[in-house]
Amino acid sequence: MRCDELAVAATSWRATCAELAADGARMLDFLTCVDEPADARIEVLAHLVDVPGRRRVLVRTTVDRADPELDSVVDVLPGAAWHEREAHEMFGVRFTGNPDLRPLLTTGAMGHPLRRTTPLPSRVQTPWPGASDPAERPPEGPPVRPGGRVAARPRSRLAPPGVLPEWTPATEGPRGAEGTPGAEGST
Amino acid sequence: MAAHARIALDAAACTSCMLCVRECPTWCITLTAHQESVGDPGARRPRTVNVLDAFTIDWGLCMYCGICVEVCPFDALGWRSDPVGPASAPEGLRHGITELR
Repeated sequence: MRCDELAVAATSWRATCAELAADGARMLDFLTCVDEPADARIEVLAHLVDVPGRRRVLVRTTVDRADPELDSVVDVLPGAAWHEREAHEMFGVRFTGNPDLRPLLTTGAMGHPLRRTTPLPSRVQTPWPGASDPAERPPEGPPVRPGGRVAARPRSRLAPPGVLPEWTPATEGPRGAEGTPGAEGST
Repeated sequence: MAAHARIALDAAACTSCMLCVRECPTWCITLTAHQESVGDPGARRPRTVNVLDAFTIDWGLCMYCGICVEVCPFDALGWRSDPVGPASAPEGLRHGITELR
């Protein structure tokens, strides 16, 4: 089935979805978001399917990450209500016009879990198994040459993917951190 | 082709490179290894090899995504068709080198 992609401005999000729905793409397959902290934006995606016309359209737009607000499409695609509710809970995007944006799973205390910067408590508490390195253990067995020494190769410490350094407690910060706070502030 | 029921480890093929452990999205693999110097009298510098001490997959955490199987450069991890059996406690789902054969 053919799939068209359509990138629109946030202001024409609702109008575009309404136009596509009127044009036959009335089945909302999904509506979701992608957090892009590096670009300070959140991408919102809606996948609409025109079943008789055998056509799919992926509509995408971006909203400001600091103040994500977007027009709701519930009036043109009623099935979007639940998806917008979920996107609001997980990414914090406010869909103006959606009457019910109550959270589905969380109490709201931990923020928006699917934003990449939201700390995941179990990832902070659990030691990452990938941190151990066989080369850090002293090698066993006699050295090959008299006086020969097998040096443990110092390797750069790998960080677990998706776990931001600022999540870890300050006690495990880099050495010499006592002097840095003042130095950081004065520039 | 074996069904994707569980993951098996060929301990002899594993070089303890840690790739599977670091790529696992659920952090369900733990691996401990040490280095041993290999005696090679002609060598100018001693050569070291990693020796696998322990390898554990926690089936209570594993989501059977197969990324570890994909990233293993030495095909030490592979799929098997016999599923993981039940356990009466979470510890019973942590399988070591012998259970993962």
